[in-house]
Amino acid sequence: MATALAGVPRTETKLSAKEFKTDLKPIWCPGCGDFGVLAALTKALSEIQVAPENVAVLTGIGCAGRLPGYVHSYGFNALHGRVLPLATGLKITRPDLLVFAAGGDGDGLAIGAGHFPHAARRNPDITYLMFDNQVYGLTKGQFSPTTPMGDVTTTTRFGSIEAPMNPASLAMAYGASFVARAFSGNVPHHSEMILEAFRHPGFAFIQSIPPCVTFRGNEQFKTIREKARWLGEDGDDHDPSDWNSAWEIATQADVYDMSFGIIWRQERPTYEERLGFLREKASKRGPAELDSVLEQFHP
Amino acid sequence: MPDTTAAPSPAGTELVRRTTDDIVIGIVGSGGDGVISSGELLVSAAAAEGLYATILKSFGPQIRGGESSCRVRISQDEVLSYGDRLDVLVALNWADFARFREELALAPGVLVIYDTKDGTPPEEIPVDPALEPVVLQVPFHELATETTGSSLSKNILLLGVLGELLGLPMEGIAGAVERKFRRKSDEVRAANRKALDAGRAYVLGELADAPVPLSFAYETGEPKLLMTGNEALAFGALKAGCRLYAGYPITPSSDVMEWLANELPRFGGTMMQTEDEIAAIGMCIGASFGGIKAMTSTAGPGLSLMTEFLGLASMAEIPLVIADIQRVGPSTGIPTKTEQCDFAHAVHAGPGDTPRVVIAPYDVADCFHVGVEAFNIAEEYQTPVLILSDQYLGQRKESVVPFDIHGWPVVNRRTFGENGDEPYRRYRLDDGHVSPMAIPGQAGGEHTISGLEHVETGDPTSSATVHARMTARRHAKLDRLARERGADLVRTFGAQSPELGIVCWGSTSAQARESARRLNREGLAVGVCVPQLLCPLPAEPIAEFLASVERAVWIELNHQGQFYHWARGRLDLDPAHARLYARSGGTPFSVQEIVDQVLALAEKA
Repeated sequence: MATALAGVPRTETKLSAKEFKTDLKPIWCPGCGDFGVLAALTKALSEIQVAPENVAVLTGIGCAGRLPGYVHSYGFNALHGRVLPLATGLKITRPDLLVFAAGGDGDGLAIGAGHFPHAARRNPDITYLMFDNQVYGLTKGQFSPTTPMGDVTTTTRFGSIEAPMNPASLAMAYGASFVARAFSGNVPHHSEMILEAFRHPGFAFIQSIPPCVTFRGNEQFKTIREKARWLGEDGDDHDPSDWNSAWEIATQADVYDMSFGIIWRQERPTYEERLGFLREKASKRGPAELDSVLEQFHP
Repeated sequence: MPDTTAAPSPAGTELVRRTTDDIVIGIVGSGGDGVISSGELLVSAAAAEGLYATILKSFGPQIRGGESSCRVRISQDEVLSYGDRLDVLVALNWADFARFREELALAPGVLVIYDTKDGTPPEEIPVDPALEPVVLQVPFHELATETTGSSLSKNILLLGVLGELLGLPMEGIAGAVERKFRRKSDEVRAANRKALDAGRAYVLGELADAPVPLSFAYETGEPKLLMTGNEALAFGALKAGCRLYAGYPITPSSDVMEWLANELPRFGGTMMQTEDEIAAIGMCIGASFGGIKAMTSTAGPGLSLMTEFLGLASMAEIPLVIADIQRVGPSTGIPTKTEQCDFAHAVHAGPGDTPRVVIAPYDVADCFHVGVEAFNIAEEYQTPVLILSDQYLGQRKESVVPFDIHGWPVVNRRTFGENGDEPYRRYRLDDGHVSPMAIPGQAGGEHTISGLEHVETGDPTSSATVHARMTARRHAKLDRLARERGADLVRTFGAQSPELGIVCWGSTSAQARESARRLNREGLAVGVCVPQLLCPLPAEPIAEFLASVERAVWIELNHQGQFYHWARGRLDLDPAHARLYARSGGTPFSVQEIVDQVLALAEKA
C-alpha cells in the first residue's frame, strides 16, 4: 500500500514553526483568517520534519495566492485557478518533494474548477488547501462560487441569486481520497488537519474556513466558535471511512454552522505508485537507451 | 533526376517507355482497402534499398472507414517535396478518387491502373483525356479472392503489380511485407507472399504486352531511416532529456504525445494526458520549476488556451518547450490540413512585453535537431521556446539519412551554487541577464517566484523603476540569443552565388529548395534562405543573404504574410527588391508554384 511522502527526505531534528516563516510582511488585512492558516501550516511543516528546501508551496491568485512568499520553502505564486496542474506536474516528476497547493474558493471552484476533479481522481500525493472565505477578497468584495444565496456583495447589491457550491462534497464526489474541514480560528486543530493531510498517501483536500473580516464581517468567527462540531473529539463518533456519515457532514451547507475534522479518508494507490508499475511494464520495450529507441525507425 | 528517353507518345502512335529514377505514385481506395498500408510498404521497401522516399496520407473526415489516399514519391536523389503530379495513379474505385481529385494532380501521360470491379468503362473514367493517360484495368479484387480466399490481400497484390510493371525494388517490397507481418501467423504470411506473386504473375502474363509509359531505374545504397516529423521531434525531445510530456489530444499533434507515451516511461519519464491544454502547459511549468525538462505540443486552438501560462513562463523565466503542429485556422479550421498560420500568434501571444523564442524545423530530420535545440535554448536562456511545425511536416513519413544521435550537444540550465551567490537572488541584474536557477531540494536556494513583477530575490514589487529594469533584463536575453546563435540558425541552400533569392521558413523550405534545384539546373542561380530562429529574428545573417541577391521572393503558407511583415519591422527591406507570395493553406505549395514565383521575379528585371 502507498506510504505518504514516500521518497521525501525527513529531518532528524525538528525545525521550529518560526523557522518556516520568512521576514516578508503579509499584505493581508488585520484580523484576516489567513494568518491562522499560515500559522497552522508552518506548525505542521515543523511537525512533519521535512527540511525547507524539500518543501514546495504553490498557489493560484487571490489573497491566498500570496502565501508562498511568507513560508520559508520553495514557492510559486502562479496563475489564477491553475495551481493543481502545476502541483501535479511538480510532484509526479519530483516525488522527493513535499508539495502543498493552495488557493481560494474562486480560484479553485470558479476559474480553476476544471482541474479539481482531475487532480482528485489521479490521486498524486499532494495536499490541496482551499481558503474558502466565500468572497473575492483581493479584488475587494465580489461574490464567489461559495457565497451563500442572498448575501450582499459589491456585485450582488440586491443579494446573490446563485446557489453556492460545496467544496467538501465536491471533493468527495470527485474521488479525493482525503477530505477534511478546518477553521483558521482554531490553529492547533487546523494544524493537525494539515499534518493529517501530509500523512495521507494521495490527494488530500482541506476545505479551510478563514473568515474574511473585511468583506464579510466577524459573524462567522463568532458562530463557528459557538456552534462547531469537532469530528472525532470529545466523544464524537464520526468514522472517516464511513461514506454515508462522511457525505452527510460534507454536504452541510450552512457556513455559519459546520463540522470540522477529517470527513473522509480512503487508502488507494497514488499516481506515483501506479506510474512506477507503468514504467516497469514499459521497460519491456527495451533498455533506456537512445540506440534502442532508434531501432524502430529502421525500415 | 529523371532521365527521359522519350516523351509520352501522342495517342495512336507507339508508346516509348521512358526511364526515371524519380517517381510519384498515388493510391486511392475505401477504408479497409489498405491503400495506406500499400504506400507505407512501398516507402519502407525504398528506404531499405537505400532510396529516398516520402509518403503523404490523406483521409476523408470519417473517423473510421471512408475514403483514403496516399501519395508516394521514390527517388534516387534526396526527396524534398511530395512531387507535384502523379506519374502513376492506382484507383481501387473511382468514387473515392473524386474526393481527392483536388489534391492528386496528374502528370501528362500518367499511367492509370484501376480495379476491374469498379466497372467504369475506360473512356468514362474521371481523368482529363488531354493528359493522354495510359489506362490499365486489373482485377485486384477478384484475383486476391481467387489467390488467397480473401479480397483483403488486394493491397499486397497491388504491390506485386506495381513492382513488376514499373521495375520497383521487388526484393525490397517482399522484405517490407515480410517485416510488417512478422508477428502474424504462418498462414497470413504465406497468403501475402502468394498475393505478391500473383500480382507479379498477372503482369508477366496478362499484361505482358500492355503499354507501360515508364519504368523506374535505380541503384541500391545504404538503408535510410523512416520517420515522421512528429516522431523526429519527439525523439529530439527525448534526446534533449525531456522527462515530462503533458498534452491534450489534438490533430495533427497527437502523434507526438502517442510516441512519447510509449518511450518516456522506460527512461523514467512521464506522459500525462491532461484535462485540457491549460493543464498541459501548467504541468510542464510545474515540472520545470522542479528542474525537470518538460514539453507540450498542440495545434492552433490549443496554443490559444496555453497563452496565459506562456506569459507566466516568460515572466518567471521557466525553461519550457511548446511545439505547435500547425493546421488550417482560424478557430477549428481544417484540422487535417496544413497551414503556416500560427506565426503571428507564436511571436506575439499574450499581453505585456513578453519575450519568448520561436524556432521552426525545415524538414523531417531537422525536426530531431530542432527538438534538441529548442530544449538547449530553453535551458540556456531560461525561456519558453515555441517550435512551429505543421501538419505537412509533422505527419509525413520520410526517408532520413541515418544521423548521429549521440554527437548532438545537450545543454542544461545553470543551477544554484555555481557562482557562490549568497544570499540567493533568482533574478540578478548583474549577471548577464540569465541567473542560476535554484531547484527545489537545493538548500539555501529557497525562494518564491510568481507572475508578479519582482525584485532580484523574486519577491513582488510594484515599482515602475524595477519593472523597467526587469523588462529590459528579460528582453536582453533575446538580443543575446540572436547575437550568439543567429548565424547557425539561418540556413542557406541552392546556388553558391545566387542572383535571385527565396526566403521562407518551416515546412515550405522543402519545396523551395526543390524549386531552386530545378531552376539552378536550368541555369538560373537561385538561393534559398531559411531562418530556423524566427523570434528573435537574426537580422544580420538574413540581411547578408538579401544583400547577396538582386531580388528575393518571400514565400509562406498563410494569407497575411505573417513572417514577411514581422521581418519588415526588423530588417531594412527595399520593397523594390522583395516580393511576397503568401497564400492560405489546405494544400502545401507545389514546386511549380514556387518556380513560377521565382520566374516572375526574374522577369521583373
